[in-house]
Amino acid sequence: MLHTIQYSWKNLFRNKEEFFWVLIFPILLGTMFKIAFSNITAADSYHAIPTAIVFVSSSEETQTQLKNVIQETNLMKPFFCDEETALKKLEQNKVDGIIYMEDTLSLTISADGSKSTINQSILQCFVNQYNIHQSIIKDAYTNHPEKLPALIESLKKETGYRKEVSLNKRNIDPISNYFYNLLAMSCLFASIAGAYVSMHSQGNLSSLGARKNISPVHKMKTLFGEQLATVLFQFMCNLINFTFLVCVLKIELTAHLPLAILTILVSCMVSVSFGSFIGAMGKITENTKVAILVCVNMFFCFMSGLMISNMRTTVDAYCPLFNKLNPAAVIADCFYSLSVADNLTRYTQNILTLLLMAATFMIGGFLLTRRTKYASL
Amino acid sequence: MSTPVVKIENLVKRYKELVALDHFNLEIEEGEIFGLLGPNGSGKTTTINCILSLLSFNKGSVQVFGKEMKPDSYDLKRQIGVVMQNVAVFDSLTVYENIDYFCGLYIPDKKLRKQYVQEAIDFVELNDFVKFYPKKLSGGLLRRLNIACGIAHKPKLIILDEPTVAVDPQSRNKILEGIVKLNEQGATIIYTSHYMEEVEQICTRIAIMDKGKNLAIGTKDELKQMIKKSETISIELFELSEEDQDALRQMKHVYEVSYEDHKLTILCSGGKHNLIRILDYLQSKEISFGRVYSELPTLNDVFLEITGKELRD
Repeated sequence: MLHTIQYSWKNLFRNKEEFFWVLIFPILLGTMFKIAFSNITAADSYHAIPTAIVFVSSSEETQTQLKNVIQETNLMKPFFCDEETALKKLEQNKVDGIIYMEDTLSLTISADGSKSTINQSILQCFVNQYNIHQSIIKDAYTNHPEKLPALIESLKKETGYRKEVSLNKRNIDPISNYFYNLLAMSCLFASIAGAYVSMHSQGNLSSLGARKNISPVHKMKTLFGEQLATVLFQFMCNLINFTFLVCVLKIELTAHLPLAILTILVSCMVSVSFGSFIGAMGKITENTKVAILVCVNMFFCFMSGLMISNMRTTVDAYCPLFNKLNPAAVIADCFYSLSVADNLTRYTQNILTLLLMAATFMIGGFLLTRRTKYASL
Repeated sequence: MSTPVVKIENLVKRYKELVALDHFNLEIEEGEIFGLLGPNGSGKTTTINCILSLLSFNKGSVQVFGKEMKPDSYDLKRQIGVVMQNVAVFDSLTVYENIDYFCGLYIPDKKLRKQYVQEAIDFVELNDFVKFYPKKLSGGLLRRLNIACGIAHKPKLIILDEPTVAVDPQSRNKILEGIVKLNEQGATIIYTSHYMEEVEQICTRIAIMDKGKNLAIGTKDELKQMIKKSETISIELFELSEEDQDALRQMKHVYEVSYEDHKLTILCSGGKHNLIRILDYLQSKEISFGRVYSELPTLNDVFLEITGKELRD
């Protein structure tokens, strides 16, 4: 058995094609995902609006008050200047608007329509809200001065009616879903190596298989040894992928590291046994079987959301059973449930599903390859 | 009488409508180089695969070393070495590693295996190529690697299925010399080929197969004695009358005379001095002749006479 495992490892290590698909390709794809999604996040982030502030006729006290509000809200990048400079800056597109401070605030924006309307709207909202608050405070000062501190305190509080709630107080990054699917895809690529194990064990499928069949070693022993070596090799490669995503690309994948590693191991088992099952089926050429596996894997990954993030949710809505049977979806859901769910119920269900799949494919593969005598070669 | 190394009785193998082996019988004794000779599709490889219990068969029995051969006859398989018709090696393992891998399926002891692998490398003369990958080897060297993988564990019975197909003459001679050497070291050899010269050169006993049947079996001399023709005499003649042709036909041991394109061909059956008598006749009739050839029968003649077709048809 050790002899078989040793040489299977040598074979796998020297197979450049295998290395590319299992190790290099997922790392490249992961890096591309990271670069692409970083740009999306950067585009979504808020930039303070450059605004010119002109104090026309206002007291020192109100000026300080406005400066404090601007600083607290972080909405604006203020330029305190005189009107002439402010108009020049607006003309040169260096600011998005000019706020004049008299008794109340007023806003001047460019009329040529070249400015960002969102920024102008934000400035308009700010000016409106400031004026309303100022009016309320003035009114209270005149009519109910005793209630003024309570009023100011109340105005300071922003009341939000919608709040994002994390199930386990962890950061839910929707981009992570792509990386869960990437890991699922990388694990599923192990099926190709699994297929070769079967094809090279069958006397009627390859000369190597015939030679192994006439040796004095029990066929199942050889087959099991080669499958074990393949699973361990694929596990190692996927661990490297996982480490690269977490340590180099700084993707927050999971808080349960041991369970994530277990997921990778079980996924490799599913994948290798699935490949072995397909490899053992019928007298189809090696290339055709590999092509079938690549197509099936990519279809599984597509349906799991590798290309479209919410695909798994869509499939869940129309055909939930498919998600339960799609190994890529189950693997991705394992990582997702580890990151999101508060308890391990969903993860346990997923990992048991994967183990069941692995057992089914393994038994199926063994049944197909157990023959030691063939009707034709 | 010793137990035959291989005993096949009444073997029938069908591929749907096609009968690949038709009540085939064979006995191979220890120490023989036994040749299975027949054209492509005659059933040689099927016979080998049935002996190895790789192929199921419809009827009959196969015994190796006196025991029934089954897929789980690991004690028997341990004593058999096979060189398949198709080269079966790992592309990503070096020459040394390939031999070590296959030898390791038979010999678990590392130290002994190392010695056996080295001996196999010496035997096939691949010492300069041990670190080469199969893709870097020429056709002949690849065949030699294939042989080394099959014989490294020093089996008692070695089966070589057309090991010289697509091999250059130099490598072919080396392979044939090696087979004889293995036999001298005590191995019984089963050698299949459709090259009659090879079989004639190395085999101690030969079975001629066609359409899954064992047509004839014996040593090469015994096989040649089975047929009518014992000598073919060819003489270049400028002219030969019908009268002289008839006279030649009447001569003792001559059974066929033909004259075409200034070439006289006479087939003789038995007799020791046929050529002298024919030349005497031509001299007596003052018929001048050019080059003279006398050929003894080949296995192809045997095959031709038994089946009515050439071996390489």
